[in-house]
Amino acid sequence: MALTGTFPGIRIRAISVAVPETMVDNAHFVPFQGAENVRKFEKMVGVLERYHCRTATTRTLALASCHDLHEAGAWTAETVDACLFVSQTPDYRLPATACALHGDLGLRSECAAFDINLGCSGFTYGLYVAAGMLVSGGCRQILLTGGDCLTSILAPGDHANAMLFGDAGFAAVIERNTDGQALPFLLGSDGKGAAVIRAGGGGMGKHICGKSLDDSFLHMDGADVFDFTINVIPAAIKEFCDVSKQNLADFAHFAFHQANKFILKQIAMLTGFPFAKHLISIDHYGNTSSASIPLTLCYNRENVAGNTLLCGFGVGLSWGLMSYDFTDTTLREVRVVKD
Amino acid sequence: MTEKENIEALADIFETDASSLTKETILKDIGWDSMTMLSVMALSKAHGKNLNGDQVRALVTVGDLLAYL
Repeated sequence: MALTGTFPGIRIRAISVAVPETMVDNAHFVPFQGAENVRKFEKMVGVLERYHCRTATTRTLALASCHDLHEAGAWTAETVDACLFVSQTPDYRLPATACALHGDLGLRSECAAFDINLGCSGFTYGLYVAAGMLVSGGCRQILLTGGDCLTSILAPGDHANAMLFGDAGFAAVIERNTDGQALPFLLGSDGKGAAVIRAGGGGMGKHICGKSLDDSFLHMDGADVFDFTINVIPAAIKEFCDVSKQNLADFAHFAFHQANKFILKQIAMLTGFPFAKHLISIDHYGNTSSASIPLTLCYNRENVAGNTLLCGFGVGLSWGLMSYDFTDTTLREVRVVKD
Repeated sequence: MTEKENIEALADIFETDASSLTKETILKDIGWDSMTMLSVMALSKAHGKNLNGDQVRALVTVGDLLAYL
């Protein structure tokens, strides 16, 4: 069982995504991992290339996405009532990166700004928070932004994770609109798996669930992540369909967190939803954590039409699902940011 | 599935010849890594069983693995 609910009258007006300019292809990793291992990785995980930051940060990429939506006419400083920043790799311990972006963007003092500390499930959780704020009546428009630069917390020489992860930022404009859609949600967490994906550095704690946090780098127990994914996510999809009174056949697409292609194929097989209807971006961008769902929507923007099931899952462990028809949403071309 | 069919499925995962695999084969000698771990977990799930993270990390031989298929 999970937290479920539906928010009426919501419009996702526009989404933009930005990546840093440095593209790293698989040939880069051959001297470190060996040609055979890189070939196997490419075949199974499905990443052909990804973009890595040099000096850019999550704030940089999020800001570029916000500027893109401003240039597209999706928001102005006068219309935004809240700025939410979702990330596992914020620019600072304090202040909230949302506050720094509030200043960067020239938002009003009446505009709230705060961070949400989530990764792979962060976009759907961010939409849930935004929709709740809009329905509560206090806000008319919310700028939901964020992203992740996980390469900034990889240990030197951790080429396996460097092959998997890419860096990206995103922004989305969410509005209250009486003609907007009803947004059904399902959210869940399993804190017993809190140590499965972890990084120290910046926090006050030294251990989590018996695991050490004595360095700043990302640690991921891949087998545990996979066990969680194949056992929890298909059941969550079924529960979401039951609660929202939808069938798999009602969805034109799945836009899922791009964990890796093997995992997505397993989910397709276990749910019975054709893999061909999964929107994919991992081959060209890698796993971009909280940015992976908006990135997948924008990268496939010419093919996105109809009711789409979104599912974020991972670090926490946590998962969040929602569905929305993106036909009238402006999905911007993925921007490449100077770095 | 029969043991022979399971061995053939494992040979496919490890990209090796099924005839080279025995119950005593050491997994680390045939390419036991994070990717093959996920593949055998998926194979176990497809057989209606569950091989969790702790169990998969504890496997040493092909024989150990066959118990979960």
